[in-house]
Amino acid sequence: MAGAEPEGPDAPQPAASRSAYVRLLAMQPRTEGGWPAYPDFWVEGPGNGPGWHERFGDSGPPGARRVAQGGGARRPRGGSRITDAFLRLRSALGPGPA
Amino acid sequence: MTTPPYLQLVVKVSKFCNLRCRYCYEYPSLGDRTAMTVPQVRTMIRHVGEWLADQPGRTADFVWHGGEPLLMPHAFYREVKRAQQEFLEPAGIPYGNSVQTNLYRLTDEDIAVIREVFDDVGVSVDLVGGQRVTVAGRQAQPRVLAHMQRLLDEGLDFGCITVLSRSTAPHVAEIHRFFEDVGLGFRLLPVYRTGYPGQQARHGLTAQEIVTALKTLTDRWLASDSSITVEPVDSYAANVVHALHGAGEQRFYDKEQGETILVVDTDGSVYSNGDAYDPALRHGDIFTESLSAMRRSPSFGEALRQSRERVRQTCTGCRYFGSCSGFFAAESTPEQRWRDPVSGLPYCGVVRPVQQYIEERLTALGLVDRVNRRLDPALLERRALG
Repeated sequence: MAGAEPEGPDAPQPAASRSAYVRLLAMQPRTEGGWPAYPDFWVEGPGNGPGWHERFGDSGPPGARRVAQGGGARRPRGGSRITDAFLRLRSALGPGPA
Repeated sequence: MTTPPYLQLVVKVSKFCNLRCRYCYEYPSLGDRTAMTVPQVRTMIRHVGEWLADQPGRTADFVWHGGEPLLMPHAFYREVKRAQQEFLEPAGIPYGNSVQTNLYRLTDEDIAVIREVFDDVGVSVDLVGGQRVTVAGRQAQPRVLAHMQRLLDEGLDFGCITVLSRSTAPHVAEIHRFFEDVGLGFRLLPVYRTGYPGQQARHGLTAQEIVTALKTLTDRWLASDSSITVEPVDSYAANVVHALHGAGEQRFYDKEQGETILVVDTDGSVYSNGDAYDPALRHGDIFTESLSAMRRSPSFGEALRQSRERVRQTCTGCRYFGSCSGFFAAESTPEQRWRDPVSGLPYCGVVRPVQQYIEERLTALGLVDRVNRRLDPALLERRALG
């Protein structure tokens, strides 16, 4: 079984964050309480909000407000200011027209 | 076949736009000021209400699209809301409104109408590449970034779309980092439709190039500490997790009962997602015809036949089919219908290889039993919560 993989301090560090494991865990089909009538609804975003699976691609994913309406537990948005993040991006790209 | 709990109506309210993004599939029409009228849109909403009245609990999810939909008079959207209150609420039909905007203009009145009418806002921003320009050819982005900050300062959350093109593909990791930094969800959207012959020769990517970019996004998604929505990786990963779970209900998309997206063109023409704006596959005119009548039209029948055939040819034998419903093949645009150059047979150019990659990554992380190909839920839980 995969669970037989060494989990001790000498085990290689998996290249995934704790957050990624949480997101994958949240994606597992429900095993208690039966299946929803339309399984798309368990295909939820990591915020556990409403399904966003087979939607029109040319429209942005839902903001946190819609996720919260869907009963989600998304953590409050606490990101950087747009300008600061964009300057970091530009800095990462280096000089050039990109 | 279970009816999905929502119907998205992508309403091309007008093609008129204040930008001239070079890859935009509406490019030839971006100077056209033709727009839906209030009586037309009232009729559309009434027809939607009549159709959904016997589909209890199904949400009408209006996606206001263009062109630039926020260039419409603000009174128009207030009339939209009134029509929804008049035709949908008495019938108990849940509904929502989202708008996909370039955010090049953002006035106080725009913000007021967003608060009043729209449950969700999508913003188109590429961050790199310089393909989003004004009519005069100037870069739109500095103003758009300032307006994104203003929306956040106003407490209005939103998601973003970044077009995956030849200009942005080399910078996927940096783009992900930006959205992670600002805490906004986003979709990386490959160029998927062409406005005029030859338009996408400079912008479009091959299936393999799209896969490479989405693999990079997957790597970032796995390494990230952020919980932002990252499409399409979230959706593909969910398909993989379902397939590896090995238990539970399978689902197969079929547009006859389960169509989730209708594109409504400015003249009222209705199309399936992948078939817009093919006149031979036009379902009908929502300004004059009921949706139930359109579902009986020969052109809808042909769209249905072609969609089913695409799924049969593309998805049969795929190990993810049943977890991945076949939606991507069923509703693909002509630009997304890849064919093997030797055999001429259709194949799943992006979704399947990216899902395979996600499975490989989960396997390398030790989460998948290498013999029975099942996810180890106990190990996943330990790593997530331990």
